[in-house]
This record gives sequence, C-alpha cells and structure tokens, in this order.
Amino acid sequence: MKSKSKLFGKDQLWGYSFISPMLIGFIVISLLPIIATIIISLTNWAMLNNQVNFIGFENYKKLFADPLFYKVAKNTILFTVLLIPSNLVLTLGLASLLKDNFKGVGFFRTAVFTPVVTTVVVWGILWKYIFQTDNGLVNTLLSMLNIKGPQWLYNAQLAIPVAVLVTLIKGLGLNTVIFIGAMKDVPAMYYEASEIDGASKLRQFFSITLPSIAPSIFLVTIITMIGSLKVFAQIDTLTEGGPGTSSFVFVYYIYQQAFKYYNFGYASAISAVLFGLIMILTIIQWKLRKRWVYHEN
Amino acid sequence: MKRILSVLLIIVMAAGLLSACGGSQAPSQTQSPSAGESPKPGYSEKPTITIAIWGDENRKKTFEELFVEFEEKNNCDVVVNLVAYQDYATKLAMQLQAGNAPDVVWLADGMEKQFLESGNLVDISSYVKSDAEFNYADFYETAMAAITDGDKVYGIPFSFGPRVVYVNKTMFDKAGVKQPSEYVKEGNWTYDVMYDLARQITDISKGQYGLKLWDTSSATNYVYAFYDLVLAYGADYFNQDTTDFTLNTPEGIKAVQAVYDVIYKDQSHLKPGDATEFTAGTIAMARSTFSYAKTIKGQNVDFEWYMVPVPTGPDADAPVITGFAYYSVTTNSKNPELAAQLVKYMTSINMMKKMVNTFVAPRASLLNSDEFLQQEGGKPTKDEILVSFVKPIEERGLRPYPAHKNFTKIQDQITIEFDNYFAGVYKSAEETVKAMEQAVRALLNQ
Repeated sequence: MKSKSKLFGKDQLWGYSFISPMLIGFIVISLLPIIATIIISLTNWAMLNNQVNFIGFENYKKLFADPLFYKVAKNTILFTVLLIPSNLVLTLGLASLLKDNFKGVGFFRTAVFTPVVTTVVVWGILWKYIFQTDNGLVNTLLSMLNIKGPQWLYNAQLAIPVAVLVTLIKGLGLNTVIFIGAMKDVPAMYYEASEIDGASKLRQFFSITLPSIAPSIFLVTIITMIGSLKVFAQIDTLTEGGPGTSSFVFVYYIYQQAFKYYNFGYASAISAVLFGLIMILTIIQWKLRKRWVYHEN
Repeated sequence: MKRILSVLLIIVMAAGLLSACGGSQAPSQTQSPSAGESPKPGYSEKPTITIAIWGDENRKKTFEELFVEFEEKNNCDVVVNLVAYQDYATKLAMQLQAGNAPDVVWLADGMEKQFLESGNLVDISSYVKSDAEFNYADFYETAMAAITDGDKVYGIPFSFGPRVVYVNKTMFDKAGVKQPSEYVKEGNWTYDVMYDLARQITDISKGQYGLKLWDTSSATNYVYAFYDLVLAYGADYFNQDTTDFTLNTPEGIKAVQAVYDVIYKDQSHLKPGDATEFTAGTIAMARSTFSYAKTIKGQNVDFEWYMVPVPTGPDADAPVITGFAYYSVTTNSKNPELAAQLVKYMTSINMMKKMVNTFVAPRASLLNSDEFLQQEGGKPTKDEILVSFVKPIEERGLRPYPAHKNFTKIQDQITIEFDNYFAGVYKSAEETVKAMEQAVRALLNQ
C-alpha cells in the first residue's frame, strides 16, 4: 500500500510539472489581469494622472444609469443573435456539401477557408471600400440594375447587419472545417441503415447527422457566441461605432472609455460586466448541453 | 533518461513563457519597442534624446537629417519614434504612466490641454524667453494661449492649419463653368457661390463631385471639420470661455442645414465614408490644409489646380479658426535642458524657413518671408498664398479651437449627433442641434 501511494504521489508531481508552463501562463496572462480589472473597476483611475482612489461600486452605478450602456448591450446582443444562427446554418450547409471527396473539392475548401487566414483589419478595410455609398462595389453593381443602393455603413439600421455579414464571411471557413471533421466521424452504417428504411437525404441530415455532431455544434455555438460578444476589429474598421452610436458594441465602448477618454476605472467596470455576461451565458449553455447534446465522447 | 528529458522540456517551456516578460527601460536608452524607431547600434556615452512624431517614413527620414546638425553641436544622439497620428495621444498617455515617454513630443488638436493639466509637461520658459535670437515674441499670441499658464511656457508651436480650398481647374474648364478664382478677384467668393458651382460641376454618373469639405474616408471630428463654416454663418459652437454650447441659434441651424443639403439635397458632396481624394481628379473643390499642396505636387496629378481661400458667409469678418501643433518636453525626460534646446532648434526661424514646405509655423515673420511665399515648384503661387492664407489671417485674425478638459468627449458627442442627422435618425437640423445642446451642456458642466 505504501509503495502504491508513493507512486501515485510521483505521478501527480510529474503531471503538475508538465502543466506548470500552461498554468503559469494562464495565471500571469489571464487570471491576474482579470483580478486586476475587477480591482481597478472599484477605483477612479484616469490614466493621465497618478491619482487612484477607491470609490467602491460608483463606476457600476454610473454604468447602469447610463443610457448608452443599454444601447451598447442591445447592439452587442443583436450582433450575436444575427451571427450565431446564420453562421450555424451556412457552415452546416457548406460542410454537408464539402465533406465528400469529389473532383475540385480542394479548391472549394481552400476558397471557403482563405478569409479565415486574412488579417481581420485588412478584411474590414476591404469590405469598407466594397460597401462605400457612391463608389463601392455593391452599390456600383446595383446601379447597373438601376437600383439605388443605401448608405450601407452610414445607415443606423444597416450598420450592425453589414458588420455581421462581414464577420460571417470571414468566420465561415473555420467552423466549416470543424463540422466536416465531425461529419466524417459519423459511422456510415447509420446512413446505410436509414437508406434501407427509405429515409431521404434531408431526413438523414436531421435525424442522423445533426444529433451525431451535436457536441461540435455545441462547441461552435459557444465559440461563436463568445467571439461575437467580444467583437471589436470589424466595428472599428467598418463603422468606428457609427453612425452615431448605432454600432457601438461592448469592446468598442471599453476602448473608447479607456484609450480615448482615459477612464480606466470606468472601462474596467464595463469589462467586468462583459466578463460576467459571457460567463453566465457560457454556464447556461453548459448546463443545457445535457438536453441537446446526445452523446459526448 | 526519460526523466532528464522531461525536466529539460519543462525548463525550456517555462523559459520560453517567461522570456516574453520584459523589464522597463530608462527613457533615454536607445532601445524602444515602438514601431518605426531607428536606434543607434550599441551603447553610447553621449546623452540621447528621443522624440515622437507622427507621419510617414519620408518625414522620419527628413527629420533625422535635420537633427544631424543638432547632434554634432550638442554631442548627443537624437532618436526619432514614428507613431500613427490616431494612436499618438493614447500611446503617449500610456508611456507617461509607464515612465518611459519620449523626451520631446508633438501635441495637437486638444491634446495639449489634457497633458498640460495633468502635469506631464516641463516649463521651458527660461530657455525660450531669454534668447533674443529665438524671438519668442514672433509667435502669434493666439498660438501660445493653449500651451502657456501665466508666464510658464509648456510648448512651442511649429504648425498651424487654417484651411484653404484646392480647385481642379481642368474640371471647371471642361464643364465651361466660371472659375472660383474669378469670384475671389471680384470679392464675391461666398459659400452660396461655392454650393452653386458644386451643383453645376457634379455628375454622379461619371463619379464627379463638386465639393469635399472634409476627409470623408473615416470618422471625422465634425467640430473642426465645420468650424470655419459655422463661424462664417455668424454662429459658434461655444461661448468665449467654453462654458456653454451656443450653436442652437437660427444661424447655427442654418449652418448645419447647409452642410446636410450639400450632401443629401444637392448631392454635390462626397458621402460620409467615401475615400476619394482630390488627387484622383474627380473632385472640383476640396477644403484642406495648406500642407496638402505638397501631397498634390508629390502625386504628379494630371490636371491643373490652384488654391483659393475658404469662402466667406453672412459674417464676412469671421476670424480664421485653426488648431496648432506644438513641441513639448515631457516630465519623463532625464535631460530636460537638452530636450528644451532641441525644441528651440526645431522652432527657430531658420529651421521653420527650411520646413516651410511641410509645416507652416505661426510666426509672424515667416508668413511674409520669401521662403514661405515662394514654394517649391512655384505652386501654389505667391499670389495664391497671399490671397488664400496670409490675407485672411492678417485681415480677420486668428482664433484657436476651443479647449475644455472634456473636449474629447464633447467633440465625440457633436460628431455622434451629426452622424445621426446624416444617417437619417434625426429629421431636421433643429432636432440635431437640440440633441447636441442637451448632450454637450451636460459634459461642459461635469
């Protein structure tokens, strides 16, 4: 018995040793800054002066009394609600089309994946030119059909949907690749058996494919949700939060407060609220996974 | 053996992680993580002065050449850090917090008040006022207002930007429309005439626009973009001591309406978001800084062009409004005396004359000098410069942009309300100005 517990102790030591670089990195790069943000959110630290005074929850009270905070929350949630379903539908569709090995599939998979490796800032600037009002590609093509295109990036109702579209096209490739991998893992015998029973392709997709790849759908949903709640680069390059505040999102609001107005205390409070929101949504999804993820390996 | 290899692997991974952590550096060392820096190799015993500028690589190279004489005379090294303009204020604020800000910095467009009030600038009055050759009195008083506090001087201006209008002569000739220069000669160059000419020239089917009043390619500070227009209409954003928002008058509403009409009713102005430049040859009249002439010359455009003044409005005597850019010494400097000497060197009359094709300094003696009036390549011509730039300043006087501790927020709020008007959220100029008034008054009183 003694020798068994000694062995167990040695295994633990080695295990901790191997995960220590990652653990140290997580603590130094992620955990400590999160704790620092929460502490700074309880102060009135403005970067240009060195006065740091503890003010308790005053920043949070100010935040929840600020009408702009609710506008920002609404814009961010709208972005998320538009992005997630459209992303899932399109990527599942693309994965269904591209999972089989037909002639030329490599070209199409590359084409779908190329935007993923493009820098997000370059991607945003490119689409900003495409959606320009008078000389942009979209409106120029529409004018050839005698249609007067709107101010895509200068319309309060269209700014967020356009940003969603740009983000969607950029992110399609990564999620498609995840789904292709998951779909290839579904045993062929399920499809063979269902064919014998007379199931159509559509029925196979909804009754076999979707349930079988549910863990991957869950993963993609969580990643997309977290990414959309933290969206910044696309908004900054396309609209800079405009027109007005119609495309102000959380991270852009944090950037404005911290780096334009130097209100680090207030910006930290917004960051803490966003962190809490993402945590709550992730926990809810994690709890709900047992209902709609049929199996987890 | 496996254990030894495992331990080595752990050490390598940990070392790789921890090597990313860096220490702080003394401000006068030649090493800096900033992009676009040109550190001198090796450690030098000579003192080093770092200066942060905005611009491009060509400008950096020009400045490095200009510093050679100063380096030889003072037995020091000058290191130039190039920073993008839109990141400049933020980066400087962070560097000041970290204690590694450059010795000498540029400040402009509202930055100076924030950094001055936060106590991050060095008083250089003893260096600049005592030197008769430097001639401190040569600087316009208006230019010094934002950077002085009583007798203390926290910076020296090296540039100011009253706007002018560039005219694509070829477009007017092809359209058979009377040139703006003729209206200037007649003394009848007004905003109404400018709008009328813009309507005549515009042909959207050919991508031709009559007017570009501001840089539409990115989010704009609409306070500065429209300030001379607002003053020309006999209105103002603020009262004299910037304690009240005063645009909500019939004149102010008319000015805001005029901007909206030229874009959306006449459709003769580029839409917000459009990145077309005057140098593309499809814009008939573009308002910009004096130094934009250098950009036009540098691009060897294939059309004829000239410069005219910004037109007048109902208030023909409205002053010329402008921002100023300053050299300042930061409190992080370990060599404030040498840094102050660098500021004096770069803002001396001789240096300003050398830089006149890049920056126009608010020195009275400079504006009437041959070096300023006879530009490289003869464009703009001496007459154009006198009529468009010098005469308006001399006749109507200079006025600086207003300053307030919350000015960044105020500018942003005004911009948001203009955006809302252009995007169709507000249906009238009255509604827009009223929204501005409500939002800005709250910020003025904070």
